[in-house]
Amino acid sequence: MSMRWSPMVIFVVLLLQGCAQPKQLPAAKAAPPKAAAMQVVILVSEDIPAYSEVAKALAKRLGQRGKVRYLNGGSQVENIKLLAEYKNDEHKQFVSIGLNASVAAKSLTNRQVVFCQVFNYQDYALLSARHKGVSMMPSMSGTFSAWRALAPNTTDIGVISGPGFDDVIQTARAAARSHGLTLHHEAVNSDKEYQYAYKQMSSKVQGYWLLPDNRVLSGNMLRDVMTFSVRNGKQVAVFSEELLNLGGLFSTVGDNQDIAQQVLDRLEQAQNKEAIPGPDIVHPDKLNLRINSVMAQRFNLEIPERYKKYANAP
Amino acid sequence: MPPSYARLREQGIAQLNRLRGLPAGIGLRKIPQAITARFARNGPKSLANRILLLQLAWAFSIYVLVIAALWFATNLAIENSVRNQGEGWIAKLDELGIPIYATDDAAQLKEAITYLRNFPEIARAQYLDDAGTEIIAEYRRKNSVINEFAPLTDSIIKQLGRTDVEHKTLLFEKVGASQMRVSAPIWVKSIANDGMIDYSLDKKSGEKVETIGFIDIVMDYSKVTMDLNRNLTYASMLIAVMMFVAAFVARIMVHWALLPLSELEEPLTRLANGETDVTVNTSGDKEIARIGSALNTTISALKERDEALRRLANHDPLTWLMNRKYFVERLELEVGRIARGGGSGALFFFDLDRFKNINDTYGHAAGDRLLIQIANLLNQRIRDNDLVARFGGDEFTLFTYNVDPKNVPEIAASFIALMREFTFYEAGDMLKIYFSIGITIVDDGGRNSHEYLKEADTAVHQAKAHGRNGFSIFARDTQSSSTETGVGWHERLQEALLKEQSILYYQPLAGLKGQREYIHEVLLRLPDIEQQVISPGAFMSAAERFGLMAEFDVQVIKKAALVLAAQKDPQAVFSVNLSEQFFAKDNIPEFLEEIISAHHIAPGQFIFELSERYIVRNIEKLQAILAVLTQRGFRFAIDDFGAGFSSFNYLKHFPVHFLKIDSALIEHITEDNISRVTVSAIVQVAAELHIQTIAKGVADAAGVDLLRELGVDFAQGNHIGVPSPQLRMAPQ
Repeated sequence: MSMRWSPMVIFVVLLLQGCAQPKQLPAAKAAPPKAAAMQVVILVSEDIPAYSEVAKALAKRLGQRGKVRYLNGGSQVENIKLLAEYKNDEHKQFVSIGLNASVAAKSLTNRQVVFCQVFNYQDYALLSARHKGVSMMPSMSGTFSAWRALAPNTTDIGVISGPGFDDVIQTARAAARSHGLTLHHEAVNSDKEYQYAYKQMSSKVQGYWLLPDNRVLSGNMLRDVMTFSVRNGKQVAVFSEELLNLGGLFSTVGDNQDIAQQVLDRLEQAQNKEAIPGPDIVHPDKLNLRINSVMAQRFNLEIPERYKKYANAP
Repeated sequence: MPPSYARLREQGIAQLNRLRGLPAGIGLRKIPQAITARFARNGPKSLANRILLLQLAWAFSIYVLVIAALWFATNLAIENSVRNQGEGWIAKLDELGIPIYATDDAAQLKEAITYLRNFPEIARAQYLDDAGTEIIAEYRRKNSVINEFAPLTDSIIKQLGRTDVEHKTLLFEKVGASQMRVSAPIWVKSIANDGMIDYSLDKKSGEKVETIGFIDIVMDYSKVTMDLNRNLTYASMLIAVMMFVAAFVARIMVHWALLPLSELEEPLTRLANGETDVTVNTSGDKEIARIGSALNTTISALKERDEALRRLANHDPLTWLMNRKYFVERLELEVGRIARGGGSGALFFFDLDRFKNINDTYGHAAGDRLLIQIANLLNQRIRDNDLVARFGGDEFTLFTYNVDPKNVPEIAASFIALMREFTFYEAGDMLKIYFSIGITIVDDGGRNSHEYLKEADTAVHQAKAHGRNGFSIFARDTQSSSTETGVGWHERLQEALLKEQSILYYQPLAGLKGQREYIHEVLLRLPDIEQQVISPGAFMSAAERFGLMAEFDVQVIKKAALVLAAQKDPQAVFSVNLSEQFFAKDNIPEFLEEIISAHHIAPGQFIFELSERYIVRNIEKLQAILAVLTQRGFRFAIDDFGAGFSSFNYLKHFPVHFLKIDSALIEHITEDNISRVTVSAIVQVAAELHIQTIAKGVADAAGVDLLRELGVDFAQGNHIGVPSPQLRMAPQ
């Protein structure tokens, strides 16, 4: 049965959501960049804030060593041709920001490439010994920590993703468990399956953790599942502050400075080495949290004092 | 004895005709014609029924249109509704079908598909694979007859599978009266942007769409259609009943509204039957009241006109006394009344003496004035119930009621005395007017009005024979006298005609200029019982009154022609007087041609005399026929020229050859200068017009000399020669 919201409630929710301001968690003090002999080419898929802010942070940190190059929406073939000049340049390291740049950087097989702001790196087989990345997802530990603090009674969380996310899910499941939460995962192939799985999972979980898996998400479906969640009293952690408007309890978004630092760290670690040391993907330590005070009130959740500064009506 | 077949057949036909309202005498073969004729006689139909028929026809047309429009609109609405429902069901089934594409769990599949059981409008639902050929899941309602739908063709699949459109393409296909197939693709979508970087709820684009299968459903809305048809039937029946009720009410209202018109039928029928004493009701509706008023006005006008016509038909337009016809009718009624109830009356027949002279001397207007004064005189003298009429030209009749025969002479004498006291003033002259009265007593039921009139007529002639200004009472007892003199002119004149008893007298004309022609005027006489002859003055008016004058003219012409033929002298010429009645005959030219042809005489041997009075009154009519006869050689003379209102003007255009100058101008011409000058003028004008002149009434030799001196062509009179039955052809 559909939940019936009065127009006044919807108005209040939307009003509160509109007034909320994103707040950044206090970031760990960034270590000063080590002197590096190698030049760093920063390949940016396109000039959008999510990419360009990371690129700017990197360029600032690298100083003379860093060179930003925008691909600006060219085709894969054009982008590969563009990067052909770097194939034999052994004195350069590469950072690819976004999927297009990262896919193009695959052609630089002998060069060290650290990619970031890429979600679906598995499908595109971006990983190799010299090609490693920094996850675009915010800190999972921070996410589950905040959730636990907000809703101490929540124990089971559902998460649905497209295929090939087992590693991420394993990491997430561990992070959740460390905060006393059980993560239920379903892999689906389409938005329809997502919708079905979401509703099927409803009886087992108190909340959903939405991953930004574009392969199985569609606009209508997102609206549908968000509406379903609100009607059925499910807490939803969303990947975009905008989804708070649809009834998300809180949103966690990666911190661009932190991502840039993680990228630099990986580049430093790979200096004078063949491969890039460390795991294929490292996860950021920080996140940007925002709490929907309206939904928190609806769920009768008491926002801890330390989170109140992140709480606001969307 | 059993009735014969023929008798039974006759009885059957009579019974059939009685039932059909036909006369009993009509046979089987004539019955259809008789029925047709009977219906044809029915005439125009009722206005109220026609209005009602029009209303019914109009209402029925509206009814049919309304029902058709209702049926069409409702079916269209149902179809549109089904289409909308179909769209809704496609969306619903798209969602219901998720397990079919998302899981292999049979229980889930069954649950999803059986959900449709609750919705009877879904007859069939199929989930097809992405090629549209293989059925992945199907629901089919039990006991449901589904029309044959062709499988989705490649082109339809291709069309439905398009993802480059904003909304899914839906295919609607109606088969039969109440089943519709709806086909649609099943889409899955994914957001194009990896990691949903910069995802925005407002972004409409940026999604990839993929068709993973198709939904094909058949919706059966026969129940809705049946309900609709049933409801439409009920509604149409209800409307029909309402229409009939409305028609019934309308019939009453129309009849009520037209009732005043129907009420007009009775007075109008009476009016049509000749009654004018009719009044139409003018109350009620404005329109009807106007019609009623108009009819009343018309009826009043008709009544006045009817009265005027009746008066005109029954009265003499000059004196406004009863005319002959009406008097005879009224007399017949009185005779009948006396025959039934006894009593007696007296019938008076007045004949003005010398009325012709008044006309000839003072003109017809003077004659008319005299008649009017006589009529007024009689009107003043009679009692209210007496009947008085102008019977003929100068004849009046009077019927008096309850008159003792002994008093009749006294009454007659009073009329004679009345006339003695009467003086007619005309043109400065004082004229004494007298009349002769014939009387008969009406007391015998064995006679009719005509017989009484003959008796009175006979009596008036007896009175004239005994000297004018007197009266005579018809005496039935003196049979011998009556036989000799009182049989009546009608019988006598008829007898004279039948026995050709007319006698010709000849009076010679003397040519004063040495002409070679021997002209005689032929004069008509009738034999008397005592072997004497009766002069025209005694029978002419009767012959004219009885319409016998033309026959006498014919007889005279025939006899004259016979005499001329016997003479064998082309210089012998007869001048014959013709009456007005002669010219009323048909084929006059042919008759005269036949006469002269039969007797081998020349047309110029006849001169026909016409009175000036008659010519003046009928100049146009005579001009035509005289022109024809003149062309054939006959000649004409104007008799008594100068006696009345003579005019030279018409002579210019009138085909006449002789002017017979009236004897009043000739008799004293030797002593009377006026007469001499007048005659001289007539002769001069006639000469100019190439018309010869004849002087009548020449009394002496001096007169002859004078006339010769004045240039008159012929002379006639006792001095020249008296009328004689012997024809003397020697020149005078």
